Amino acid sequence: MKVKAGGFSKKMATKNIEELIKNLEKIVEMLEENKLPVEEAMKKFEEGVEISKECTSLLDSMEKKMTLLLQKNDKLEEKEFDLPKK
Amino acid sequence: MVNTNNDTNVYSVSKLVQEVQVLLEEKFSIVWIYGEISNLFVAVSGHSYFTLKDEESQISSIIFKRQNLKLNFKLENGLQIIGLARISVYKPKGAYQLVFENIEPYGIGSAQLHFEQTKKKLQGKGYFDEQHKKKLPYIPSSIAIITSISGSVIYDFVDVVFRRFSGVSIKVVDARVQGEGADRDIASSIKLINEQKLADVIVLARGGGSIEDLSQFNSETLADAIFLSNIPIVSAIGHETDFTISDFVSDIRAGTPSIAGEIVVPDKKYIKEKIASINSNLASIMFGILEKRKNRVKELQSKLVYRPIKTDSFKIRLDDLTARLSSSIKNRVRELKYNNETLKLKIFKSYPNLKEFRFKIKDLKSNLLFLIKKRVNFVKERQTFFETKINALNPTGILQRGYAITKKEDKVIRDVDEVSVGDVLDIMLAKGRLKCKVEKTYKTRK
Repeated sequence: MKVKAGGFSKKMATKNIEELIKNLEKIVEMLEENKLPVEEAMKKFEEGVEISKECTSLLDSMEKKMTLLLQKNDKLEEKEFDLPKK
Repeated sequence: MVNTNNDTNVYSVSKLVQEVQVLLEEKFSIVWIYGEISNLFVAVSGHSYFTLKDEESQISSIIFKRQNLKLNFKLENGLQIIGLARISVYKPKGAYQLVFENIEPYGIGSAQLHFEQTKKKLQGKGYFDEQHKKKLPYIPSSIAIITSISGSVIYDFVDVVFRRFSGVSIKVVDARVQGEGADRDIASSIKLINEQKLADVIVLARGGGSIEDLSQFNSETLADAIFLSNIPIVSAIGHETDFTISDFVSDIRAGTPSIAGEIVVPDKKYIKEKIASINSNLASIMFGILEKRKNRVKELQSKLVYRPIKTDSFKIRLDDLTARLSSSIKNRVRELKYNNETLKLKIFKSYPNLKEFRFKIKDLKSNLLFLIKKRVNFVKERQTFFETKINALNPTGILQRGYAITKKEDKVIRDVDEVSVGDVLDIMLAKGRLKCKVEKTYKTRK
């Protein structure tokens, strides 16, 4: 499962990190069991390395943002917002 | 008989009741009174009837629906109250009663009473049950925080969130957090955030204050909205020691806004460290697997190395067999010779039968030759058999079958990785050698 950080919405990205980490842990478990033939183990290992790279780049690709939700006619509208300096 | 018309001291019932009414209603047009509620009865009209009593006396009382609705707690039997009332006389029955304008709990504050009452009610409805608590997302993509932006709460929260996880969006609802109606506003914000799916976690925050200040967070309206929210809600209301109804209904209670920040986002540094540790774990496991394989290959290799020893043992066995064969033949020949000699002696002794013996000797001689030949042939056959076996294991034998040995500076090449383009290689054939230059290398795929 190849994931490119840029092509996904932020929501997907965060969902993916959680899943990717889970996948990563699964791969570690599989390798620890040591029941796979070497070729497959090697493939899984490479997949794991790839996933961890993806996780890190996804984590770094997310930007912080702040908005204000204002109620207008029974709807909340998003406006750019920054906290006034204290 | 007394004449009622002339005697002014004699009242009609209605006249007396009316005078009592005027008297009482004027004298006690407004009165503060305290006592305990009993025999509470809420009529269909919404008006509440009860008896207010103390140890010695009791008095019928009523609070009309409109005044009752203004109370922020519920009337209950056994409740000690203090209230503002006027006395009213009900003429058809000549009875008097208290009509309450306002009632407060006596002894504890109304806010406290309201809190206890709401808590009990919602607990009964299962609002606080663990089974309804929703799980927070591992990493939220956006967090909605409902709070007043004039306080320090929002600063504390935002600081912690962005310090722990810089890649998240915070959506702020600037809300009134105290005063009549604040609960409804907050409830409506929660509803809208749900409807418009604006966040995947909602934080409800307010700084510390008195129980009256926090009372909006004890509202049932707000509790309903929190309970019905599909988005998990974290509450951070008041100081760590303050508990509100909202705290109980929310999915997680944070003691302070900073703690709420820690609850809603993980520490990015921690996640990265986790990934790194999984990564190194992965590498070391893989290394272990490969190491095991390598050892296995080595083990197999060492078995291959012992092959010559096996052929050696063949050689030894062959030598042994050959020696044993030849010595057995020698013995046989010696035996036969001996027999021959004895026969000769016998022949000399019995000369007359000499001719006959000669025949016999000839016969025996040919027999003997036949046996020796047979024995020698057998040994020869065995020898060729073992020789071919040995040859099969000999590298020159392998070459004979068409394989070649490739060397680079006297080192045998087994892997294409050991040579590079341009290298001069020495190839050994069954007959003769080749000197070759590498033009291209191909890696065999497994």
